[in-house]
Amino acid sequence: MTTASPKLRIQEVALHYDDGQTRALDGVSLEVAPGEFVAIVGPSGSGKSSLLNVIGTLEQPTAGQVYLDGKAYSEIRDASLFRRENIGFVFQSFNLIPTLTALENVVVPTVGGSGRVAAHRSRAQALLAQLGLGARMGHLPGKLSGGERQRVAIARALINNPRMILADEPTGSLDSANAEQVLDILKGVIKQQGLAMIMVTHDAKVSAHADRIIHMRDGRIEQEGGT
Amino acid sequence: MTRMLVLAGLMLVACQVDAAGLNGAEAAEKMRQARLSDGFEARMDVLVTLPDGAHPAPLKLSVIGQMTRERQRVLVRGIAPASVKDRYIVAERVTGGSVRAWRYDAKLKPQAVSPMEGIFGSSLAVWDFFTPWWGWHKQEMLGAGKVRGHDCDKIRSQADQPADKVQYVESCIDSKTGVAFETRQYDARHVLQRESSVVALIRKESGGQAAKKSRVKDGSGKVSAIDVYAGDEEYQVTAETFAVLDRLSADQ
Amino acid sequence: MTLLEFAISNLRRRAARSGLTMSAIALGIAAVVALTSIAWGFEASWQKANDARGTDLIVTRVASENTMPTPFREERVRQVLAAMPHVHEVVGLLSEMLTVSEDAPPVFVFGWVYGSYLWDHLKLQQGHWPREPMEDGVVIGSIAAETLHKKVGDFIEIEGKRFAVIGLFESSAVVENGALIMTLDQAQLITDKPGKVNVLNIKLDTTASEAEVQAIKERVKRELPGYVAITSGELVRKNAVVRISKAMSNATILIAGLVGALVVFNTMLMSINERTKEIGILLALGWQRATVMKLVFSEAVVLSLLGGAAGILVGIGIAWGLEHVELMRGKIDPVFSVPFCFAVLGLSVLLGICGGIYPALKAARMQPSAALRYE
Repeated sequence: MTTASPKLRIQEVALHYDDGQTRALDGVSLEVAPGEFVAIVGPSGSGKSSLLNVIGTLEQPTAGQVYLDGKAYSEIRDASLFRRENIGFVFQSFNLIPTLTALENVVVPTVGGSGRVAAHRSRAQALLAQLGLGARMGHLPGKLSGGERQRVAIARALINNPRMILADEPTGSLDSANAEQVLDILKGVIKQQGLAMIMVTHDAKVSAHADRIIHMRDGRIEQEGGT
Repeated sequence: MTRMLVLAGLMLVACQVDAAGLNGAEAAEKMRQARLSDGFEARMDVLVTLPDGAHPAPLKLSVIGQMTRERQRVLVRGIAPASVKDRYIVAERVTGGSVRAWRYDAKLKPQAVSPMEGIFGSSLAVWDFFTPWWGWHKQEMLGAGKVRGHDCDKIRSQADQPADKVQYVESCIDSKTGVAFETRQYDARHVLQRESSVVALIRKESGGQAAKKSRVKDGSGKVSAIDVYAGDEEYQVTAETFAVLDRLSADQ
Repeated sequence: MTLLEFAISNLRRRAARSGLTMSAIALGIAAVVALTSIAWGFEASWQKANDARGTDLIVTRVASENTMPTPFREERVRQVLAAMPHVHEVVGLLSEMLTVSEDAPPVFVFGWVYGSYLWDHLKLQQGHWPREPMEDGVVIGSIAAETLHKKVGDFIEIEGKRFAVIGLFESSAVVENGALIMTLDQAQLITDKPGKVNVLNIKLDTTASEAEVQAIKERVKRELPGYVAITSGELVRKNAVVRISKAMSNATILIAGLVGALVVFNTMLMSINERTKEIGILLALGWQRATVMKLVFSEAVVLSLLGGAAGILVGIGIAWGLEHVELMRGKIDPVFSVPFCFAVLGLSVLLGICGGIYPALKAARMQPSAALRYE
């Protein structure tokens, strides 16, 4: 499925390691529209996470090109700045910093950037309150439940007003109730803010929430279609 | 202050020569030359340890010496404790190379004593101040040695007179500093009579090194630790300095 | 949250290691502070002693590089000097460090020309000054009085001669407070140095210009071969003990610097290795490589700054303690100043920066995708 004005366009992207011996991605093309929720599914080693890394500028493709609003990734001069301004990551294992409180974890992506510290703090507080963690802001991650931790991670992903969310198995470490809740939150957020979300998952129940599901195998898109 | 430390080298057999590449006679001659002085004075603390480990009261001594080609004489004055205060030992080297010594004080008339006798009960002998062995005819280079990790050249000096108590002296001259780090005196039966060693050095004005602290052990096992704390390398010997010795010499 | 707050939080997270690292830095800095302050203090104290006496130039033997320069016969030299223009007074000084009590460490014994200007700067606290050139009496400095447990009216045996303590004085120079002073004639007598002095002190008249002082120096060089006229500062700087203590303090700075930098390096490198995944997360969250470097540097600098500050306090404590140890009383006068403390803090920061360079570069060069996979 393509849209008339694609926000994210992936064109014949390949990602090879070991001088081409290992082909993590092999000619992947994909378009994601604004506000669209795309789930990427496939067996382990199919290239799901590699695709997410390339979209998130964590890795540079060996061949092909990725465009965001028509701008090629190869023209990006500062990938860190690009990520800060455009992408929010949500990881399976939350990846919170254990010695920082929930609130501090949320503001971590703003450290060293522009803007006033107090403004970042206010926004983080608002995000946490919005995600139902208003009373848990001062808690360390160790004192939070899995669902709460992932909600902190979602707030962290949203702190810099990204244009898309890249989520790698965001419910993989949660029980079904918490998984459902996190998914609802993510869906609500992208709907409310008009963000695109690309989510890697193994879970068919999770992928069922997506607007579109991409099946990958051996670094290629095997099949794509609506849910 | 450095001069007083030079004196330690001068007196306590720690003279500076570069013995490397010389034969025994040449090295001994260099040591002898290095000891020549119109006058010197050194004051030293001497801590005696008896063979049973007991320590008599520490001695404080002043030593005045004159070592020219013509005359070689030494005056030792006791400064402390009270038992040796203002007691003197005077000695000279006479023709033929032997050393003779007298002791005296304000009340006591000079009495002849053996130059080998320990000064005021220490193991330090006035004979050592003259280092007569550097003037002996037979000097033999024994080769390279090592003293407390220092490379040195060993020299054996053989006495000219077969009747002398000390028949040969073995010295080890540090090849880097030129200091005689160790000296051992033996009798005819090869029994060690006295050994002296330099414990600590200090830099001299000339850039060389001299002994500051030394240790002398006699045949009985009595040890004297010597620390030269003051002195004057250019001491002005006056007519008064060795007046007693001059009178004694005139009498004889 | 600022970068600094984050850095401090990271250090607090590993409190034991941070504490040990800071302790190591503190010890190195303490050694630097103690030795440097003592070396400078030693120099300053001797200079103060010479300056306080009002001496403009000092004449010694050329080769003299010791605390107490080599003694020499003064008469001819003094006559030549006294004939030079602007020379107001030429007085001799003899000095030795002598043991005067079995219970106390050696003290400086000075012999000063009776009635000369050298005595003028001392403040008599009790008793009186020598009343004649051959008086069998000594005046005792306040610190020497304490260390030797002597007061006015007591007796001290110096080099076998009994002296009455006739006065107690206070000087602005700590080396004089730790000393005994007698007339030059007595000092020459007990040290068996008749007619000899260690140095000749020259007091110039007030009209002597810098150029004229220089001219006197040149004339001494020309007319008195083997002798040199120098200022008190020059004499002290030439002093072997001052040079050795300064060399030791410099060596300590170097060693402490190297050790400190290595300690910081080791700590930061271990910390970076342990936090590989965390750094990957930060990079994934949009932290720029420069920000990661700043974080590592901040941690290194905070460590070294806190260690340095603690080290300065410990160093001041050590120097103060040494100053009051019986053996050192009246001989050292450690010098501390605000610029000195800031310089030491600067050295600490430099250690932090040097030790942090490689870990910071390593952290910043991490590939976020690889770091995220790191377990």
